[in-house]
Amino acid sequence: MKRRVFTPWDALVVAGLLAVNLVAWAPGRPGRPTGYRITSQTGSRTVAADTGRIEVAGPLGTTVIEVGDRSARIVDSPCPLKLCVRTGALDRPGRVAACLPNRVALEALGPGGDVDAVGR
Amino acid sequence: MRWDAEPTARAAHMGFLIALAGALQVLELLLPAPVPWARLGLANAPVLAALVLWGPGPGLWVGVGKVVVGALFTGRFLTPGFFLSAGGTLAAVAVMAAAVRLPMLGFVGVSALGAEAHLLTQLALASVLLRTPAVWALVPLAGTLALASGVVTGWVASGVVRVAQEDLGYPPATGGNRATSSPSART
Repeated sequence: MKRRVFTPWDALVVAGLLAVNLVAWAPGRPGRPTGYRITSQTGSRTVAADTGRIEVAGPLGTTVIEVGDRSARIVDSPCPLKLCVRTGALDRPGRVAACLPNRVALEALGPGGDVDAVGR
Repeated sequence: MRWDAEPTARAAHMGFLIALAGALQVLELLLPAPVPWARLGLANAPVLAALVLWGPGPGLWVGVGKVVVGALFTGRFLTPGFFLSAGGTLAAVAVMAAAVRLPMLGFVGVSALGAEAHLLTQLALASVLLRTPAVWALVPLAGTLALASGVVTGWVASGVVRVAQEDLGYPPATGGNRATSSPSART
């Protein structure tokens, strides 16, 4: 018997991996972000809530971040797919938006952040 | 003549698969990518085909050949992207070599596991390289894209293997997919 292209087990594997991927959608911790960490090529810095518009330089150009009172988001970035923009507003501590092509990451900070420090 | 009596023929076919992988990587440069180092991943189809046809050793060689030839073609040899690609491919080869031993899995399942391993390894290396865990935020979107490409890649690999087995006379080689009677090559 030759290896088949697709078996019921394959469907199970694909569904399982899909579930793993979606669970990784960091839901964030309850509460409001107290600040945001912006990581770029030149290093990492922390900004307070309601800082407003921030422009971050990267290898491809400028990534524009908007830090509001309750949430922050990447509003524009010179990358092809704009996954970072589509991530939307970070309104809970622990949520992250990242533009890998331009090497910029935005992370919401807040209470209970120590748990996530394990991955670092 | 049995295929394994002709190491020269197998070497030629392995070389063909490596060249195919290299060419696919160049073609994929024309497509948009979520991150500079990530591609659709069709070049993994020849690697999976080699694993199924000849086992882990040749699969690894085609994987290494794919990374090196692809990097030379695309001008990324020994850049950070090269190491992400190498790490991802090695992980994918390891995972697929294990998965291919499970007879209940088809090409699509094996390929999906390989694609996920490829992506997660790349993100792990990227998080070290960029010194931020923030790259893991890409898992939901990039992982789902990788999974989709893994399904397509598995389907493509099954086509490559079918051609090899039906037109070139290679026997089914790994997992529970051996022919019941001793396979003889067609002429």
